[in-house]
Amino acid sequence: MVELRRSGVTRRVPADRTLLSVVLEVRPEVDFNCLRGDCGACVSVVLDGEPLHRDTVLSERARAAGRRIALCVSRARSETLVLDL
Amino acid sequence: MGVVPIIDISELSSGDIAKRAEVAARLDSACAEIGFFQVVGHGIDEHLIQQMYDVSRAFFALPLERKNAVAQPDKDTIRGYSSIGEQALNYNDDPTAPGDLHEKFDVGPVDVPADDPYYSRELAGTHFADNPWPVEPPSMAEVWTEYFRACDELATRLMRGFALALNLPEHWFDATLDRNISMLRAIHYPDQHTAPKPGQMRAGAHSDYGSLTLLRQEEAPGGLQVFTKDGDWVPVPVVPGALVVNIGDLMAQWTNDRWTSTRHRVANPPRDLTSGTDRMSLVFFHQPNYDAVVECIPTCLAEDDRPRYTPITSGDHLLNKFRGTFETSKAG
Repeated sequence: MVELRRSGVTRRVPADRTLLSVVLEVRPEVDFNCLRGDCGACVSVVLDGEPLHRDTVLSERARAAGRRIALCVSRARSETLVLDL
Repeated sequence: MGVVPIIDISELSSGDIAKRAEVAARLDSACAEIGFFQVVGHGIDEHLIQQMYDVSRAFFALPLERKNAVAQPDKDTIRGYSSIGEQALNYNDDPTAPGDLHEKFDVGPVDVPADDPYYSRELAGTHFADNPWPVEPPSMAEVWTEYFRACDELATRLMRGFALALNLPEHWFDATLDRNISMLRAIHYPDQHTAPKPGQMRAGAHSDYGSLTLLRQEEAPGGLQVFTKDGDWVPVPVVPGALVVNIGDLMAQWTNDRWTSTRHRVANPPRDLTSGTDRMSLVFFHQPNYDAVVECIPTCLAEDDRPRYTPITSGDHLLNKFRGTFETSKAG
């Protein structure tokens, strides 16, 4: 599940869809570009939950902190991921 | 202090090694953390920079067909004029991706000896290709040549500071820079009267290729942003009189990633602004001699680490980048 806290919306993210595509249904203005975790355009703030990083753009420091996520390729280890959107 | 520190480098010319080392220590921490800093006390004449803006603006104001008289000849020869949308500076390998919203003009080295075979097309390829100076404005060649030399000299001074920062002899890089294949570019970002296409920016996210980049930017909406190690896009403010310096991928390889080559981009102005956002940047891309071998600097190899990149010459490194092979060959 993904919770967009500022929007007050929670959605399920099916296994065959990206987090970005689900987020865009609620927040169509969210920026994106390369769609493969390289450019950093769609990186968003994580308020709660544990990301499963599959991008190449975040530094080791940002990965370890677990408070940023590249929506286009990454997923969640935790049941729910809370985003500042 | 912001994410990108402001460093007064005037003491790099001091006769006192302790003062030079003090500046070097600040360069070291900036290069390790963000790979960007702004320099004041850099010694480049503000009047010369103003002349660069004047002649370059006059050139970009010409009708397209006059600018195209000095169009870039092919993708390996970065010389002359490229119009809006021709180049996409991003990580997207989709050939249908929209191009960046800027036009540009490039030149290469300006003091090329005519009869030394080192500089010939046979040995040097396109690295010393002729510069196609436009007929107008008439002083373009003279002003750009002078600014190229000033940037080259500043880059050498900074590289000596870098050598001290990396615990190397101060002139360690000199022999790799004396016939450098740097480029000077003016980039014009016009007002956006129509909305950009999805994903289209003034300049998409990228890191620079070479040793270091010297950037002069102007105050106008829609500017430079850097991607921090914390994972945020942060604007780089315009500091009057300063130049923005960033290191490129080649320097990250040379230092075995002790220093970082940071992704950056040029954002679009807000959509409600369709005038007053016109902006021009002057960019000097410093790139060592084409035959300089870039391999892990001995002082940059930590005890528990090994060289992370296959040695490569500066010239091959640059050509690989032009050809869009963003994947650098990581060693074993």
